[in-house]
Amino acid sequence: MVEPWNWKCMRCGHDYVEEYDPKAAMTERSCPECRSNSVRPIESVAKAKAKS
Amino acid sequence: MMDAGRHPNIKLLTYSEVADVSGYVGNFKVTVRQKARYVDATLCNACGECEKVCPATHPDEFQMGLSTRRAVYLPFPQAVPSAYLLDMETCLGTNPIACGKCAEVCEKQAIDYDDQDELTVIEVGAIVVATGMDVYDPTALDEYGYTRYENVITSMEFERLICAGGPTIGHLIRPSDQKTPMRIGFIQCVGSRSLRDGAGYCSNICCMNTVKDTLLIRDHYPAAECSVFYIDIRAFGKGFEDLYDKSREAGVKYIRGIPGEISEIDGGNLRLIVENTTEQRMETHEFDMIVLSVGVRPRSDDASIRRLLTLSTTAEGWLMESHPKLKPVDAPTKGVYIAGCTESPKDVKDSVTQAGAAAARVGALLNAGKVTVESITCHIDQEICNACGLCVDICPYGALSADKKAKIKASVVDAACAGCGTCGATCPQGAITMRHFTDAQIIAQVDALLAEKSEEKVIVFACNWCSYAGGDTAGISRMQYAASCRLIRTMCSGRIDEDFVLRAFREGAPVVLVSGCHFADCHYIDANRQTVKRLYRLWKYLEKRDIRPERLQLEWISAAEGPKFQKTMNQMEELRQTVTAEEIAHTVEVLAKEEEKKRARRAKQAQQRQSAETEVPAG
Amino acid sequence: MTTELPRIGVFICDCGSNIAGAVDTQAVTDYAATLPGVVASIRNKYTCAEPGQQEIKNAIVAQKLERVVVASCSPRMHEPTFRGCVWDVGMNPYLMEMANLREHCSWVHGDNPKAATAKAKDLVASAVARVARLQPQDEMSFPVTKAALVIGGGIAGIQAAMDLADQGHKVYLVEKEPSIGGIMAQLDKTYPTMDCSI
Repeated sequence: MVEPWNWKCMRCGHDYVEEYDPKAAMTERSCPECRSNSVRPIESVAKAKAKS
Repeated sequence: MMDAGRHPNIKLLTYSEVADVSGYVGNFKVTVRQKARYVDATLCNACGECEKVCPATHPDEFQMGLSTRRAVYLPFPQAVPSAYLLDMETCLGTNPIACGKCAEVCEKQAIDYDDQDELTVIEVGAIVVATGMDVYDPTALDEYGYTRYENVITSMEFERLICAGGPTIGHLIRPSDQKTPMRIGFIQCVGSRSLRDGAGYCSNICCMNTVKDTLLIRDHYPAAECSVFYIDIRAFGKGFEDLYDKSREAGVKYIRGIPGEISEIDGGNLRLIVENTTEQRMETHEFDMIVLSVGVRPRSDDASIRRLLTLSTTAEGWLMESHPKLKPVDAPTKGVYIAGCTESPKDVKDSVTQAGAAAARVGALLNAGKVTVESITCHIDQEICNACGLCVDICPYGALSADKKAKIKASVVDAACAGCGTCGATCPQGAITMRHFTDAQIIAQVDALLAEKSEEKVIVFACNWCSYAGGDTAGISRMQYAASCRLIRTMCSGRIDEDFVLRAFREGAPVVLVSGCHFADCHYIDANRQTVKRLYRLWKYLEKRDIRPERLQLEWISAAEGPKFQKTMNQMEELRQTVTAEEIAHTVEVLAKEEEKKRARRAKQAQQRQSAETEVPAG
Repeated sequence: MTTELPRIGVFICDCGSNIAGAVDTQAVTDYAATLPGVVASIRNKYTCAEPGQQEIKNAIVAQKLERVVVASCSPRMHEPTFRGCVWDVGMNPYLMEMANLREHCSWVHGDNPKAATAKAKDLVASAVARVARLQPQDEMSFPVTKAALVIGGGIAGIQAAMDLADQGHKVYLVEKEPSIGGIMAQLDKTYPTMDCSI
C-alpha cells in the first residue's frame, strides 16, 4: 500500500516524508536536500504515530 | 528516399513503432506495431481524388502548420511510400451518413474504415537506432515573443516558406500581411548554449543553416537586407568558411550579440534591442520579420526504445556510445548501433557518415555469421540448490526456472543469461556461482585492498556499465579527487552480495560505497532494484549491531557523470575522516562474532543434511 | 582452490607519461614482484603496443605463466586487446586481469603522486589476488540472424538501411511517421552544397 513514510538521508542526515510502498516496483530516489541516493525508508508515518 | 523505398532488400514499415524487443545480440525478436492507415498502401496509387472530396481540415504538420491538409492526405508530395492515409481524429466520421465521401470516390477501393493496428514479429541479428531529434520550441523564451508576434518565426518555418514545395510555392512572405519582408533578422543560439533553459551545448547545425538561409534570401530577393545576431559563427566544416564568406560578401550583416528583447511596432514590424559586443554599445534594429535559429533537442518520445534496448543517455539526453572515440557508433548493448542526431546534433553529411559507419559495424556482425558471448553466466550447483525459487523471481531475463512445490531445482538457459549476477547475490544457499565473478574472486579483492592501512581506504563496489565507466569518464576529463577510494568492478551492482559489504567492514573498512546505474540506465533491465533492497537490509543489520549505518553509502552514477563520480569520491573521503579507530575496532569485533555464529549455523545445517540423507532408506 | 598458487606475471604500463607521470611505476613493479604467486613483474613503456604485447607473450612462454595481470588503463578500453594477446600464445583469455592505473589512478590523482602510487599498488594487489582465483572459461557461440532492423527513417536511418541492403542484408526500416524522410525532408536546401534535400 502506498503511504507516507519517514525517510532518512544516510549522507546528510536530512529527515523527510515521502510516499512509499515496499511491495510496489521501486523508483529511483534521492535526498530532496543533498540529492544523494543514500536514502532509507525508516517506517511509515502511520506506524510511527501509533508508536508514540 | 525513393531508392530505399524500392530496394529489394529493404522492407519499409512506416507509421510503425517498435512495441517490444527480446533476445540478445545476433538473435533479436522485435515486435513492430503498424498503426492503422485506413488506406491500403499497396492499393493506393496516390491519385488524390479522395483528398479533393474530403471536407475536414487539419494544420499540415509537414508545412509546420503554415497551411492545412485534409483528413485524408499524402504527408508530402515525395512521400515514401507514395500512399495516402486517413487521420481518424480529424475525419468527420466513417459512417456514410456522417461523410464517407473518400471511400465513394476511391476507384481502387483502397479505403478501409475498419483497418486496425497490426503487430508483426521480425527476427534480426542487429539493430540500428536512428530515431533523430526534436527541434527546439522557443515559445518559452518570452523575450522573443514567438507565437505572440506573428512575424517572429522559427528557422524550420522559414525552410517551408522559402521552399518551392512549401505553402507559398517558395515566395517568401511574412505571416501578418503576406508581404515579402525586405528586412530580415536572424537570432542564433535560440535554445542552445544557454543554461537558462537547460541546453548548454552547441546545436551544431544552426550557424551554417542561417548562413545558407541568408544566401537563399539574397539569391531570391537581391534587395532584401539580412542581419544575423550571434555569439560565435561556428563555420568549422569543409567548405563552411567559404559559404560564410560568400554570405558576408553578399552584404549580410553579422552582428555579435544576442538580442535581449523583441517588441512589435506599427504594422507588424519588429524592434530588437541588442548589445553589440564588438562595438560595445546598445543598438536598436528594426525588421519586417525575425527568424529564430532554433537548436535541437534529444527526442522526447523515444523513452520506450531506450528502455527496450537498455540504452543510456548523457545528462542532456543524447544516446551514449560505448566509447566516445573508439566505439562511437556502438551502443553499450551488444548488437545495437546508433546513428544520426539521436547520438548528438549533427548535419546531413555527418548523419550520412555515421550511418555508414553503423552499417559497416552491423555488416561485420552479420557477415561473421556467429556471435560469441562472454562467459560470465551463472552456474547452479544442483547439490546445494534447495529449489526455493528466489532466483527465478529476481532474474530480469527470465533465464532461470525452478519449481518450489514440485521440488524441481533451479536451472538456467545460458543464451538468455546476461551475467548480471543478481541471482548469485540473492541465493541464500550459495548454490549459484557467477562465472568470472565468483564470491571467492571478489572477496579476495576486498581482502587484498584492505590488507594494509585499511582505515585509510574507502571500498567502492562499481558496476561495469555506469559507475565504473563514470570513473573512467572522470579520468578522461582529468578530474582530480581524493585518492582513498578502491574500486571493485562487477558487471552489475545487483551482483553485490551482502556478504561482500560485511566482509569489507569486517576487514576494517571505514566506509563502503555501493554504486551502480541510474534506474533508467540499468544494463540488466531492473537488476539494480535488488541492490537497493539489499542496502535497506544492510542498513538495518548494521544499525541493529550498533554500527553506524551511514558508513554504508549508495550512489547511482551514469557513465557520463564524471563530475558526480568525482564529487562522490570526495564525499566518501570526508565521511571516512569521521570514522574513528574505536568505531572500526568495534565493527570488526561485532562482525567477526556474527561470522562465527553463521559458520556454526552452516556447519550444523550441513550435518543435518548429511544425516537426513543417510537416514533415507534405500529403494 | 588448490593451495599452490598459479604462476602469475604482472605487466606494469607507463603509458608514456600518462601513468608514469603520476605513479612511480618502478616502485609498483618492485612491489608486485613481492605479491603471492607473482613470478614475473615487468614494466613497459606502452604495454598495448606491439613490443609491449610481445613482451607479455614471451614471458608467458619463457616463464610458464599461468595467469597475467596487465596494470595499465581501463578494462573497458583494452580488455579485449590483452585477452587476445594471451590467447595468441594459448592462454585462456579469462586468465588475464587488468588493473586500472590510468583512468582510475594517475589521471585523477596527478596532484598527489604519493597517494597515487599507494593506490596503484593496492589496485595491482587486488588484481593479483583476483587473477589467482580465476578459472578458464569457454565462450559460447550462437548463430546470427542475417537481418537488421533500423529504427527511424530520417537521413541516418535511410542511409544505414541502404548501406546494409547494398551489402546484401535483409533490412527492416521502421518509421513512426507515415513516410520516411524525417526532418531532412522538410528542409529546402542543405549546406554546404546548397542542393535540394529530397
